[in-house]
Amino acid sequence: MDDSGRLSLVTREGGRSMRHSRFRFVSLGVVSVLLLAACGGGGTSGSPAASCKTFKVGLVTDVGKLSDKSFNANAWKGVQDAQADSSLCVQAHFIESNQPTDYQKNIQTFVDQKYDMVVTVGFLLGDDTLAAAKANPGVKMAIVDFAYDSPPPNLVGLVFKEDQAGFLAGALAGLMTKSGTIAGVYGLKIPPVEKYRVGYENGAKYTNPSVKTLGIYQPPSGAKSFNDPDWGKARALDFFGQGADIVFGAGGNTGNGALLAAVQQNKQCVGVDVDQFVSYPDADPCLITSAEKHIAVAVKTAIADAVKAQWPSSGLLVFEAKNGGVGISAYHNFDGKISADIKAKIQDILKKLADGSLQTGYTAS
Amino acid sequence: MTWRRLFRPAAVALAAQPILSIVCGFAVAGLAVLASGADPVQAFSALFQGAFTNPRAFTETMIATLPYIFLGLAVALGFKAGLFNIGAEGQFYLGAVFGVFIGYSVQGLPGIVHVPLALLAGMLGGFLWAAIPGIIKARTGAHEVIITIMLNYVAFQLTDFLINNRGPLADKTSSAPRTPFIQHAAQLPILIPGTRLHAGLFVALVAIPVVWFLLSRTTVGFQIRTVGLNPSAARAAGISVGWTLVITMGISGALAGLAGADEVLGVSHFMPPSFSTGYGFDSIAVALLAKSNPWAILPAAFLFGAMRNGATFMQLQTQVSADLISIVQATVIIFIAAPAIIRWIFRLRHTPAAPVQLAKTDGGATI
Repeated sequence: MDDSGRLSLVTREGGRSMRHSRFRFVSLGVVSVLLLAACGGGGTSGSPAASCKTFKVGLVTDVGKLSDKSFNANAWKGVQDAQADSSLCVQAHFIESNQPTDYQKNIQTFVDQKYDMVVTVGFLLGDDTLAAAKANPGVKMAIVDFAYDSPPPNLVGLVFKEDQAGFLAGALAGLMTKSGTIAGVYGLKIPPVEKYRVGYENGAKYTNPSVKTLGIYQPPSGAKSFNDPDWGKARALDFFGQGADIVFGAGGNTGNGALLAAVQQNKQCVGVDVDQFVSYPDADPCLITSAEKHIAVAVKTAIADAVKAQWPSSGLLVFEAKNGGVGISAYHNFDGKISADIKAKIQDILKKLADGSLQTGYTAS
Repeated sequence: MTWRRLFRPAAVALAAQPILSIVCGFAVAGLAVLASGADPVQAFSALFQGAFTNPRAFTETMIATLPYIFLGLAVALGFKAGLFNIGAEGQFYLGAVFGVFIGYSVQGLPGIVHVPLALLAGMLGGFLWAAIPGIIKARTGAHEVIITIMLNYVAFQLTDFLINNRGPLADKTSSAPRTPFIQHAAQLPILIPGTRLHAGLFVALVAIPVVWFLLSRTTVGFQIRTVGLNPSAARAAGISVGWTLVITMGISGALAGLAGADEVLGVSHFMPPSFSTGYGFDSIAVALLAKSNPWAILPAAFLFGAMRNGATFMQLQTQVSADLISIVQATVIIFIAAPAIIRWIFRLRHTPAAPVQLAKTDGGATI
């Protein structure tokens, strides 16, 4: 399609100058495929040990697909972790969605194939997952990072305590800052974003009571909500001008813009949701860690609950420090620059968040 | 087109090449499966199952076929006038936007009025969007390939602006970015309860003879074909080449827009962002495979619809990537575009019957 002129050329008389041997190879290939086709067939797919009843799990991605290195990739990792646990007898497959009209069809494909459970990824699948769960009460469904008001009993939302992840990241930032000022560039002021911010700022004050925290929510901006890296970058540069030396980018592409500003200004940055060292390599030079939702843990837990008949009746599974559902990512490039003392303090905070002796200070408003 | 004409030796010879190209396309894709360490027989049988024999498979294949019919016709119509409409994807988006807007904003109409009105709105959206490159080409001679490609991105961004979060067409009550649901009366009725197959099927089946009639039995069709064959001769014969280019692009866009409206009124009932991936682009291949013959669009679209639908199940069963069908599609097009290869492999006699005019340009700007 790159060249209309050429396409019309090749249809004319074509191919005289081409050597026959090349095409022999093609026809040889055709023959060999047909032969293989005749001999092949049958075959086995990896079926688990017969000691327990197979539990079939299907994962439906959103249009980001498995290669997103983010929510979809981590959700599939959780499914694979469940599959690797031989006690669960999980047999799993995925379907990648090409377009939004595929969601319903892809969930239905698993239902038609008599899968025991379907995991869907993200709010884009919210409507279709709910509809499918209502229509198929016998199939367990779990949706990553989404919750319903009163879902049918076979459907759970997997949600995360963002404030705890933010608290850990803020605690690290409080210990790492040299200027004594840290900043955050946030997406729209909606609950998950507020939780990240409150956690981050309180975490920093916990480890560094004299720290100054700067931050700004993105005002509602139409199509650019969560998707305005230029705005995010400009705000981060403002904050650097006010003395901040670490910035937390928590707002999709808006937050990513703040990370880019940190790279450019040779400052430090904190990622969000997933390990952004992996999902957003542009930020690698500045990334000290990411406030992370352990999506793989959440998905594996939901599957295990389904297998072991511990399915929650509340329609909700909350992931927090206590169940390993939130935390901070590996330090990667900064591993050598963060002292053992600081690492120990972070570990200690994680432990205290987990056992409930430390609160993030976030209260739903 | 009677059965006797269909089975005339010339017609068979004409069909042989696309069919053999498809065979070769699958063979090459089979090699790719083999090279990736999977079993091509399992892969293709799962593809077949997913497209035809599973529950709901056949109706889902039909659903995937419908946009290919409209869009294949759209691209084929452009080819007839020597126009390479790469913008079908964007026109599809605009058709969906217009269709969904009329679908949800107009209230109180009976379905018998509301559905055609929304479909017409979709056609209008596609028409207007495609007329832009038509006019630019007619006025300035700029190549339609460039303009239509670029307008695709404008269309994507425009729809994104319209329906994302707080855009003018966004449903403010939804956490997901999308338009409101269309009125019940604007939905294309479901033909088989329990499936998603909708009455858009009839619209598509009517579109084929209409386009055929337009091209072969009307003055406009004659002008389109004449301009496609030889613009200079057309001009000498008193045909306004510029006007013909604009009207061809417009009708082509209207068909693409109809596809978009059909999709929102029949399948999704609202419009989300990243609405379609590649229907418009694939349809260039559909039109090439059908050699721009409106009747042949039906089997070509059906093949592509079956592959698109079956690929999901193939990936599920065999873990062979659904992108495999892109290999099939691409190699089919290579073989179609280079008929000498097919003739050589299958030792076909060269029938001098008209080499396909895939994209005869007007002799002006080429890229």
